[in-house]
Order: sequence, then structure tokens, then C-alpha cells
Amino acid sequence: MKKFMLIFSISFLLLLLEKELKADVPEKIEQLVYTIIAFNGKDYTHTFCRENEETFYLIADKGNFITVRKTFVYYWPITKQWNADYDLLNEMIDGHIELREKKSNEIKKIDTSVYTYFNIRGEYESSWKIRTGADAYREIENWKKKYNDYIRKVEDYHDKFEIYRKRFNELLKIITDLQSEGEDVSKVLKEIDSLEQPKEPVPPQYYNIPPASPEEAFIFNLPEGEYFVKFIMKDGTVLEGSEKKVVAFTRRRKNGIGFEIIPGDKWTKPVQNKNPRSVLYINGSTDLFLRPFIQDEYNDFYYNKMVRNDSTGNINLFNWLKIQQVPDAKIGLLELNERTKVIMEEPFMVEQVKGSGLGYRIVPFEPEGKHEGGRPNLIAFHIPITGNEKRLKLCVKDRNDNIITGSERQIRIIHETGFRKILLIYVLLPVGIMIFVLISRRKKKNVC
Amino acid sequence: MIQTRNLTKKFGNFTAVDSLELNIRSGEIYGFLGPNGAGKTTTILMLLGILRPTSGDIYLFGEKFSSRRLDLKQKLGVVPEKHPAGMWKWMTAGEYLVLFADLYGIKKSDIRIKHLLQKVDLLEVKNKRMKDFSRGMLQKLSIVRALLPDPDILFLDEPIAGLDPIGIKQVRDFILSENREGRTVFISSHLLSEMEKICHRVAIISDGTLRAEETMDTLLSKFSREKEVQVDLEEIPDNLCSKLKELDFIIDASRQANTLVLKIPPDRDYRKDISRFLIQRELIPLRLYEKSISLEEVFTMITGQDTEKPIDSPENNIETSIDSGEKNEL
Amino acid sequence: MNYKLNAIKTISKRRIFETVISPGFYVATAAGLFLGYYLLSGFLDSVDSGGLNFSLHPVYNQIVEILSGAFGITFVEKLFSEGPFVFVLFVSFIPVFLYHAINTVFKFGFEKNVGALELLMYGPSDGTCFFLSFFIKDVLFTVIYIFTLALFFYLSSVINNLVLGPMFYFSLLIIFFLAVSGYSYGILASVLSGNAATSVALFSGIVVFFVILQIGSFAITGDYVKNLTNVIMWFIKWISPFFYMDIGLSAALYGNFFLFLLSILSILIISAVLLLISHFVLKVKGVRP
Repeated sequence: MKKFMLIFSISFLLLLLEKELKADVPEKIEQLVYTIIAFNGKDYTHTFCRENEETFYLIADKGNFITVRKTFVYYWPITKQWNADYDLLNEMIDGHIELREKKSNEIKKIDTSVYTYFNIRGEYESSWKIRTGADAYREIENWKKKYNDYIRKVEDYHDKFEIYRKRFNELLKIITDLQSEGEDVSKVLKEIDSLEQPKEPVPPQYYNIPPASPEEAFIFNLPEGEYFVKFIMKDGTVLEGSEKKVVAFTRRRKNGIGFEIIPGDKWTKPVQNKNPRSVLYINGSTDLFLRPFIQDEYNDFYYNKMVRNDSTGNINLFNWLKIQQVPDAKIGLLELNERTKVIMEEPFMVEQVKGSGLGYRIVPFEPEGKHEGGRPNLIAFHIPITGNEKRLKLCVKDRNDNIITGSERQIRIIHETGFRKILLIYVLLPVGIMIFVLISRRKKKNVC
Repeated sequence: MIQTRNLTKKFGNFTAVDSLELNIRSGEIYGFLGPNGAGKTTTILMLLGILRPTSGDIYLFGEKFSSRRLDLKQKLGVVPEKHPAGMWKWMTAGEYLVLFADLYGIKKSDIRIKHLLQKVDLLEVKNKRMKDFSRGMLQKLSIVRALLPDPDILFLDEPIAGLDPIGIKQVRDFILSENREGRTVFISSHLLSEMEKICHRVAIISDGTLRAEETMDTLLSKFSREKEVQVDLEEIPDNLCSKLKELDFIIDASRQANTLVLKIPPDRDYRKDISRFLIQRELIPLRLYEKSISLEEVFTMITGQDTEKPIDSPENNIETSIDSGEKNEL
Repeated sequence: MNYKLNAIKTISKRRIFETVISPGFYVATAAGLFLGYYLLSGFLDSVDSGGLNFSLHPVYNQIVEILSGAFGITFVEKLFSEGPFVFVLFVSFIPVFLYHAINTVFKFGFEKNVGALELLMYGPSDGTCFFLSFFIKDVLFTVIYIFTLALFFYLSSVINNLVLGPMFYFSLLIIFFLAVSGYSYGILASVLSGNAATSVALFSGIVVFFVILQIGSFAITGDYVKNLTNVIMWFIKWISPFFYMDIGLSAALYGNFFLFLLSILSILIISAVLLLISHFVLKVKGVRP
């Protein structure tokens, strides 16, 4: 009987488990999708537009890469997102895109192009380049050439360094021998001095992000506005389900300053402070580590949909989006005594706190001390908080010591205080007045 | 003082008041009578600027009146049929009167309020809330409120409805005294006997049309074809009625126990002639009284309807009790 | 005109006196302040070492979840970016606004029904004086309440080391004009309907309609709801004070003061038009129940 019960229980559990496991397997649906590699103001991000979505969104006047293909899509409940399984099906469709501008009704035919994109040295978000057709291949060749040259130089450097090292060691040995025999070593020393150490080659400086291998796509570089697209197949028919609306939008404001704020006790949970007029409220229990960044302001809905077509946002609001770190920045900290303290960016190490408390601790990076050989894992501006302050004002200064517009922020340190309850007297004041009025009115009537 | 010219009010296709021509003279007590639905209230509301006439004009003190003429409204005192309710009920009588005194822009209103309250015996309850007032008290308070601006005309809508006999007498005396002081009074009421007692002139309206507008005496004499004289005797001889019938001014003669009932023409007072005739026959009249036509009868004749009294209402009883003493004794 | 002004002044004085001696205003004020106190305390409890952490306060956690679910996280970030006061101001204002608006609408309908309005008409007064007195009383007590709230928030900011922020001052202004237009709608509802109950129902209907529409057009919703509210909004947004409030606050947020003033002016124009309509409706309908 016991055996039977055990088998029954195990079978039942397996059944339940199977149901659970099955529930986690998402249903994959074959759909026609627009895959989108969109410029997001800083980088390129990848998303896709399912059949159920009527619109996709792109930043205006920037190159974006669109393809039309059949694949399987599925909803992943854990992340609440739609994903595409290109491994299962990835069928590109031949044809061209017909694009009609809503305002002018002007129709344009867009054919696929071979393209590559890359980022060159300079202001990061504005240094993206696109090359198409033969230029794309040339660019890649150019990069390969530069890269191969560099590799060759590195190899050459290694060879030369080996020769140098060998000769250096030989000369050292000769010196040792001569010294033990009590002979003159000045000649050999002269040779050591004249030995030239080979220089390490510098990697190609031109590219920040090198061009990727060439791909084929429809390149959308649209002025701000609304458009309608449809995919025309080789036989001239419109591909069913390919009609979509495209919104090309632009940023509303640029070059705002936002801050990434890392509290000393929670470095895994940085928060962003983006609104120029915002105030940072903290309880003052730990130091802050700040990383100011340049930000642009985009429509919340459009931007979110551009980054992930299945996400959402508020079409009525604009949101600041981080573009890049502020280069060569300094932070000016204005304290209560109106004295400005300049804080420079510093390297830090994040250490795990030993003991039952766990957690993290951010300490200054000591390259010649306990962190020798290591690399800092946080570079930020350290704002020390003693807990006695009430407020701090800070701003970001550029390399010429000028305050960057929109970078001023206030930090308010909120201390737990029982004094807060005194406000209850104010809250109850109307009730007191009411009682007074009612009593005095009653008294007046009694007198009359 | 108040004149209406072709005053007409239509509600859709229904004509509530049709080409009404009223003329209220200065210093008189003017009774405005009519059965239910005759257009009485509509007319009053137009006169007070609450309803806008469809056509026609109202002249107050010779000036054209409309609801916007708040300066003319200042000269009207109104005692509506409805008593103060709603927000007013929570006010004390004093607060209520002060509010209206302020509305009328009366300076040193406390003296006037005190004077008027004293006049109607309400001074003691000045600081009491109106929700505790009886109907009679509220009515008196309404009158005080209406008199606050010392109006030229006092409008009273059913001023004694629902009051007890003492209340009725108080209000009646008050109206008469106000009139004696020179105030024009416009009264609308169901209680015709009461109207007959105090009104100088009356207007009777029916189906929205003015049927009569006369002084009380003219109206009554106009509508009476014969008068009735009743004579109480100790004993009535059998042939007395036939003898009386032989007189040229006796239309009809009959007896009811020891009372002779004689019908005579309304042209003059024949009571002396009747007395002389009886005394010649050694019959001493113990009491002789003449009963003329009542306003109620005239009203019924004009409108073809009975008066508006609800049969079982307390007012009806009050009116009956007043009617019982409604005779001009010799 | 002098009589009219005198009538308005006199009846308003009475209305103000009535409000002063009745407990309603004090209770509503205390309720509003208490809400403010509670929400401020909640905000303070939500401050941790790195900024705001609303999960520390269960009520705030719920509020933020609802708000971010409805309007997006960007909305919540902007709402609390200067501190708690903009949010707390709007919430604390609701009890007193509703008290005044509903009280006026109910009283107007009731007093018209029992003939109190007619009684005033016998004197040197008219319906317009009657409703304007309600309006003036409501506006006056709203100003008093706004000052009370502003003082309360100022004290709170000093005691708790919070910042009132420019958006708070803009919101203070706009909330006042929003209330003014609300009272005007209340008066129109009272004038249009027959009795107190229908007046209150009509007014509540108008307010709820505008609020739902504003939420519908501002919230993150499905395309169907969005399109539907947008279509309705296109027709009625001109008469919705919330529409101008939205414009005004956005203008304030982006530093466009001209647009901010224009939105306030628009709300004022709506209020004036509503009062004018009420005046004419009352003239045509009369004051009798």
C-alpha cells in the first residue's frame, strides 16, 4: 500500500510539474515582421515590429536599417516582452518598400542597400557614420587594412622586443661576469644605454567602434513627420500585413545634464536624476558617488517604442535620455557656508563587506597599495555626506571652469525628526476654530 | 400707481393672462380676486418682475417696470404666500431682517427692525431661529420684512390663509393701519369675506381676463337686483305678508317663525318705510336688519364658479365663523 | 447697478457668515490638511540613502504603482522631481473643493426649490445676485484654504528640510483657477436642473466626465481607448478646465510663462462664459421651482 501511495504521489507531482513546465513554454507564431536597427540618439538598438503593431518609430534625420522578413514571434511573460526566434525561421523577402509621406502624399521607392555603420573618434553620439554599397565594402577594407597593419606592427613589435630582451639579458650577464672577474664594464654599460627599446604600436585611432560586416537593408533616413510604408514584392503585389505607419521624431531639447547617483551602501542600485529642476532627497546615511551625463529630451512614448516596439510610454510627456558621460567634467559643490569646493573624478574600488551584514563598500582605488595590478571598477565624483548637512548645491563645470547650463542641483538631507509631528497642531487647528465658533455661537444665543 | 397695459402671458399655446389692464391707485387697498387657474399668480409674478410678460407693459409710479429695475423693486414690499424656508429657517428673525435691511440698503436698520417687530409683537423672539416659529409668527415676520424699506406698495398674497382668528384680526388691523398711514396695499386672497371688509377696490380675473375692476360699493350694488330685510317680531299676524305684498316697494314677503323675510329693490334704504308700516299696525320690530349681496355672491356671478375654499380646510371654518357675523346691523 | 452690487455684497456676506458658523468648512479643511500631513509624512519616510524609494511606504508604493501604471514612470518621476508638494497639493485640495462645490450646488437647488431664491427676488435682487453670492463665497473660501495650505506646506518644508519648488507655486495658481471654473460649472448645473439632487448629480457627472476624459487622454491606454478619448477630447477639450490645466502645467514645466498665463486666461474665460450662460438660463427659466 505504501509503495502504491508513493508511486501515486510521484506521478501526481510529475503531472503537476509537466503542466507547470508546459505553461512556461511560449507559443511561437509565424509572422511577418519589420526588423529595425534604430539609432537611439546615442547608439544603435535592435527591435522589430510585429504584425499586431501598426506603427514603428525612428529618430528623424538619422540612418536606420529596416528589413522585412518572416520569423516566429513569442511572448515571454517573465519580461512581459515579445521576442523573435530568428534561429527557427529567418526568411528575408525580396522586393522594395513604398513610402508615402502623410503630409505631402509624396511617394518614394526604397530599395535595399548593402550597408555598414561605425563610430569614429570625436563626440560619441554625433560620430556615427554609415557607408552603403561599394563604400561600405571600401570602409570595411579600410578598417581591415588598418587593423591588419596594426596586427602586423604588433607582431613586429613582439619580434623586436624579443630581440631587445635577449640582447639586454645577454649584456646583463656579461656585466655580471666582468664584475666578478674585476674587469671594466663601462663599455658594456654604454651598449646597454644605446640599446633602443622597441615602441609598442598604437591601435587604429580613427575608429571608436569599427564597421560591422556588411548587411543588406532598407535605409530609412527620414525628415520629421509621419509616413506610411508597404512592402511591394517582386511581382508588384503588396505583401499582406506589410502596411505600417512610421513616425519620424526628433529630440525636443538637447544637452541637458543628468546625474547617475550611486549611494555608498548600494552601488548596485544607482538612480538617475534627470530633470533640471529636480531636488535630490537623501537620508544622509552614506556618501554619494555621482556620474554626470549629457542627456537629450525625447517624447516618452515615441522613444520607448523606438527602442522596443512592444513597449509603451506616455505620449504627453517628454523624458531625458542619457547620451554620454560629460567629458572632462568637474563638480562644484556649494556648501552652506557658500564656499565652493571643486570635486574631481576619481577611481574607486567596490569591496564586499565581510561579515553577516554583507553589502558593499566603495573605497578609493590604490594602484600602488592594496589594489596593485587591479583596475578600478567605479570612476565617479565623490560627494562626502557627514549627515550633519541640511542641504548641498552642486553643479557641473566644463574644462574651462564654466558652469554647464541645467547642471545645477540641490541635495536635501532629510533627518528623521519627531519635530514633524508638531504640524499635527496645524492640521487640527480648523477643528479647534470650529469648536470655538460653535460654542461662542451657542453662548450668544443663550445670552439673547 | 401701478398700471398694466395689454399685459399678456402665454405658456406655449396657453394664454394664462390676456390683455390685462389693471389700475391700482395710490393709497387704496386693492383686492385681486380670481378662482384657481385664473391667472392671478401669473399676474402677480409679472407685477413683481419675477415672470416676464409675453407682451404688454407694466408701469410703476409712471415708469416702465421690468425685473432689471431694482430701484423700482425697492419701492415694493412683498408678503408671499410661501413662508421663509431653506436657508432662512436656520437664521434668527433678527438675522433675517438684517439681511433684507442690508439688501434694501437701509441705514440704522436696527431701529427700524425693532420698531416693526414691536408693532407685531415679535420683538421678544428676535434672536430665535425661524425654524421654531409658528405660521402666524412667520406671517407677521414676512410683513415686517416687506415693510422694512418703507415701501409705497405692499403686496400681500393670501396674507391670512392658515391663521387663527386672532391672527387674522391682527393681520387685518395691521393692514388697515398701514393703509391709514398712506400705504397702498395690493391683496390677493381666497377669503372673499375678509377682502370685502378691507378692500376699497377689487379686481376679479377669470380665465386670464379681467372681468371687473370696481370700488367695493359699486361692485356690490351693480350686481344686486334685490335686497333682503329681516324683521324679528313678537308675533306675526296671519295676513301680514299679504298686506306687505301690497306695498309697491315690496317684491316678496314671507315668514320664518317670528321673522319676516322681505325682498326689496336695491335702489334705496326702505327700512324706515317698513318700520313705519309695522308700527302703524302696532307691531314693534324687535330687530330689523338688511342683508345686502356679498362679494362671494358677486364673485360667483362673475366667474360662474364657486369660491376656491377647500371644503374641509380650517380656513373654511374660519370664514364661516366670520360670515356668521357679517351683517350690517341697524 | 448699485442695487445689484449691494445685493451681491449683502447675500455674499450672509453666505460667508453661514460658512463661518457651520462646521462643514472646518471639517473639510482639517480633512484636506490631514491628507496633506499624511502624504508628506509618507514621502519623508520614502527617502533613503540614494533618493526616493517609495517601496518603503506601503501607501506611497500603491500610489506610485497606480500612477506609473496609468501614466508611466516618467510621469511619476516628473511629479516628484521637485519634492512631494505638487502631488500633495492636488490631493489635499480635493476635499475642500468638493465640499464647496457640492454644498453650493445642493444649496442652490434646494433653496430654489423651497422658494428662498424667489423670496430674494421680491427685494432688490435677482437670480444672478443669488448665484454670484455663492460664487464669491466659494472663491473667497478657496483663497483662504489655498493660503492655509500654502502656509502649511511652507512650515512643512522648513521643518522637514523640503523644497517647495517652482512647480508648486505654478500649481497653487492653477489649482485656484481650476476651482473657480469648477464652481462655475456647479452653478450652471444648478441653474439647469430642477432640484438639489439632480443638480448634484449633473455637477458630479460633469466633473467625472472631464476627469475620466483627461485621464483617458493622458494615461497609457490601449489604442481603442486612446482614439476614443482623443476624438471626444477634440470636441470638448475647449470647455474642459483640465485641458487648460494640463497646458498650463506643461508650459510652467518648460518655462513658457506666456502660455501659462494664456491657459489661466482660458480657464477664466470658460468660467465667465459659464456664469453668463447661467445668467441667461436663469432669466429664461425664472427662479420659481
